[in-house]
Amino acid sequence: MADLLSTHVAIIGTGHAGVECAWALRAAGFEGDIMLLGAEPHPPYERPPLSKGLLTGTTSADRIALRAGDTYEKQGIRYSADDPVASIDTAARLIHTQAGRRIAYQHCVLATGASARGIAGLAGDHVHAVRGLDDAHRLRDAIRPGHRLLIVGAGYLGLEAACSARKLGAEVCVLEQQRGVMAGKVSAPTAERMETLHRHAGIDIRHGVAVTGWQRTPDAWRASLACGGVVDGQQVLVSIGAVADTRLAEAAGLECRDGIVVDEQCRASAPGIYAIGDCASAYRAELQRHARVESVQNALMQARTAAAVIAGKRPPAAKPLTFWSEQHGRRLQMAGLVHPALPCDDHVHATAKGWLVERYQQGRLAALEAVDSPVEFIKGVPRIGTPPVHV
Amino acid sequence: MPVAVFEMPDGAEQVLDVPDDWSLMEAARRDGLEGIVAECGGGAICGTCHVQVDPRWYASLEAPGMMEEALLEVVPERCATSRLSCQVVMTPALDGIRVRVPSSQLEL
Ligand SMILES: Cc1cc2nc3c(=O)[nH]c(=O)nc-3n(C[C@H](O)[C@H](O)[C@H](O)COP(=O)(O)OP(=O)(O)OC[C@H]3O[C@@H](n4cnc5c(N)ncnc54)[C@H](O)[C@@H]3O)c2cc1C
Ligand code: FES
Repeated sequence: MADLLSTHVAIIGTGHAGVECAWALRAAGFEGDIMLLGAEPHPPYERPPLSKGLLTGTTSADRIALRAGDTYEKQGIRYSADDPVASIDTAARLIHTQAGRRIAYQHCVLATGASARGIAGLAGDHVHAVRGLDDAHRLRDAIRPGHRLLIVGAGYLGLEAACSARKLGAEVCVLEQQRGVMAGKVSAPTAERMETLHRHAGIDIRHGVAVTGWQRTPDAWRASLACGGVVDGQQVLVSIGAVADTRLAEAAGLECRDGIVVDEQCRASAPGIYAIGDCASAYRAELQRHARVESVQNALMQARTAAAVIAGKRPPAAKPLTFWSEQHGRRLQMAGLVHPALPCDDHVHATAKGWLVERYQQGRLAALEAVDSPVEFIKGVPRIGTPPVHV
Repeated sequence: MPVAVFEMPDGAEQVLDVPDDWSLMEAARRDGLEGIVAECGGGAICGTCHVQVDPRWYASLEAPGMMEEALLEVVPERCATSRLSCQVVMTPALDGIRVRVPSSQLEL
């Protein structure tokens, strides 16, 4: 029989959310045992550079590590890598790992993140996704000057990877089925201006195109388009979004709906269980429903909230969500959430280096977008939720 | 390896190794130093890596860029020697540099 270990808090997943939760517990004065259980072989690292500096080579794996190896021990955090959790028995408060460890816990924090969504029939050597460090290294090694990289999906990740690949000298073609880039994520004025930047950099963006099939030719992947044409690429990057990693939670009987359903304090549907970060669908007062959010700031905030609740401290005050992206050296920041079913009244303001978009819904500032305008952004964020200022 | 001394709001001092060419923020984050949140990962847009540099060291630093200068106007507890630690890059000449973590940063 495998060893039975025990801990006060078991954190499953060692991304931004899981690691921050462990540290936030210590910062909150929590003195109990903490175990951080990772599935990946690599020490915990941050993901945003994977489509940016790590792809272009301006940063490296050791620089994107979230913590130095010896700091876990210094904080009294038991960290283990490369042994995914296989199941959780929420009634017995017992975790089983793939390698056969059994861990009894009082509190269990799920921080399992998300996985890249794939396309059926599109797999193999020349097909890529960017979610983990190995993915990014593999894509970087496959990008060749003059070769064409086909990118499916013009969301943040696809566009960031497009910039990086272009910098490395590749031909880049981005296929997007919706009209416009970052559709549903940013305002039309920001989408149009960013698209112009991409075109000027020589990136071939085709939106409103549906891919009807994929075919392997001797030296490329060929996408057939609904409009009748075809496009070839030596390499294909699929960036059509991520799916929450809820397998463990579902098997444990926790309520999941596009993410593990949690309340504003990150509590899931069984006692002693919390979920944070990309895998969690938390109640969002501004939308009056649950929603899953993929952003570092959200992962950090939820990690601190769960840590405070476990440590018996007051959780940090709610703040608007923020997110950032970097494309062609321009820095895009967003705050707040836009209700997808409601019309949006966008006000664009020019700033010294870029622009700011105030997005109003039902007479309130729902979201802000800033390009190369961090000062205007920081000043604007506290106004989210308030009516327009009339000047 | 060069070091940087971070003074915490409670007066405690943390001496961190900072490899050459690394920013002070990168070193602080690797050590999990409380108060260096670095939400934007060093992009000089979030302002959550603000430190107050010891005046004796401040003059040895390269001047802040325009974006950093502007951001420093809006960070809490700004002082004359404030810098974004993600923009302060370690060189042999900066071995031993001292900075303070503003207390408001522990509440971010
Ligand atoms: C390429 C890329 C670029 C991005 N750029 C930005 C950006 O510019 N700005 C921004 O705000 N956000 C960005 N994001 C999003 C941001 O990285 C995520 O929101 C953040 O990583 C979420 O952290 P997390 O800890 O919830 O999940 P993850 O970082 O996904 O970590 C989850 C971890 O859990 C592990 N795990 C899963 N199942 C198990 C199991 N059964 N047992 C043990 N461990 C398990 C996984 O292996 C993984 O290591 C980007 C994401 C990607 C992929
Ligand atoms: S880390 Fe965001 S400004 Fe320095």
